[in-house]
Amino acid sequence: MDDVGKVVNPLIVEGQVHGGLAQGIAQALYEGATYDENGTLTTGTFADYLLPSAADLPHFDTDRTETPATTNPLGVKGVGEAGTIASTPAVVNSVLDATRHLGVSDIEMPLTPMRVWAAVHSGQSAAGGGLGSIDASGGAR
Amino acid sequence: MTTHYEVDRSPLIAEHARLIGAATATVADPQVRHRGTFGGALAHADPAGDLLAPALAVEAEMVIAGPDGRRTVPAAEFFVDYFTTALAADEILVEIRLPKLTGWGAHYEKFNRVAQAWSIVAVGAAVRVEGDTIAQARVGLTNMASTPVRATAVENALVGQPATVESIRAAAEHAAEGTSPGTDSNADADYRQHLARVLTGRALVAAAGG
Ligand SMILES: Cc1cc2nc3c(=O)[nH]c(=O)nc-3n(C[C@H](O)[C@H](O)[C@H](O)COP(=O)(O)OP(=O)(O)OC[C@H]3O[C@@H](n4cnc5c(N)ncnc54)[C@H](O)[C@@H]3O)c2cc1C
Repeated sequence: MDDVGKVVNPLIVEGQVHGGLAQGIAQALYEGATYDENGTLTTGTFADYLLPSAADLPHFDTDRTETPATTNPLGVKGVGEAGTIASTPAVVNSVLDATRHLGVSDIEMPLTPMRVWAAVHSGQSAAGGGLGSIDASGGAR
Repeated sequence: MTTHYEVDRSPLIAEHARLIGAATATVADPQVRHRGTFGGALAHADPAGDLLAPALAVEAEMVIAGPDGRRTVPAAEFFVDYFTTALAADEILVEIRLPKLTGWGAHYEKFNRVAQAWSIVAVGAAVRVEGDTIAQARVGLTNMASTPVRATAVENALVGQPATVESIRAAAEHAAEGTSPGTDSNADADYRQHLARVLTGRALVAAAGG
């Protein structure tokens, strides 16, 4: 849900939001530049530095309100990063919310499957319980 | 020179070698499958390649031609090390023989982070169910060592067991035995062994279900 002020070209606005969502989700789950101990980039190809394609992303249902800006004659606002800004924390916070009862309080981005697995397992051992023995209060810490 | 596309679309493969067909369908994208070949993928012997473990599990045989004629090498002896096969420098792979596993259920479970990426770990499973019992089982692991690995402990634990989720899950706990996976940016060895157990369970449940 966005408000980009007066919409001049709806297709471009829609495309900007989709691209922004993809980039934001990618920051949460896929993209990360890493270096080895010699300072050499270890994510120098798109086989290592992962960019999602349409196949890796959900379907987007977008919506907007249209409140014209009062600071310019067209009534327009920016749209470039509208999708990006909220999507990264939305994804990361949902994962943290889903794993909080296992004792997980933070996972470094990008949230790779291995990082989530490791966080869940260290939370589990810290809590001394199994994945199936979660107390009703939701606090396994 | 059989392309992945030809394998994928072959009615013979669909009838008698379903595991090979299932793994082939997960290789890259249609463009790559139209150019890449089954023999090329096996000769390349990338441990992350998706056709090696299924070929090993179904006990494929490689027919190799060289200056001294032809010889046949079982898959278990064909894969020697990372990107290394039993092929000598003056030999080529001319034929891949697949035993008929007609009527077996099969599934290839591939784990990667984005579509069209190589397997972090994958598991190929083929099972023959007789009544409610698992009569025969074959399990091959992708990217769990420098060569494909046959999960014989899982196979042995399955034979004669009821074809239920519980007995399959119990057998799948053996999946990491005898593996020596590497560590890279996607996964360290521990996580790969965890994946092998989980994916083996999934592959077997799917294979036993049809
Ligand atoms: C973008 C991309 C994504 C891919 N993703 C996957 C994937 O997800 N899973 C997967 O399994 N594979 C994947 N592949 C690899 C694909 O399966 C290739 O087809 C395969 O690795 C090589 O097959 P090829 O027929 O092109 O062989 P080539 O590249 O022509 O040959 C590979 C090697 O084997 C030798 N060779 C080829 N044929 C023979 C023969 N008959 N006898 C002896 N030596 C031979 C060649 O000399 C060379 O050394 C991908 C490839 C690309 C380009």
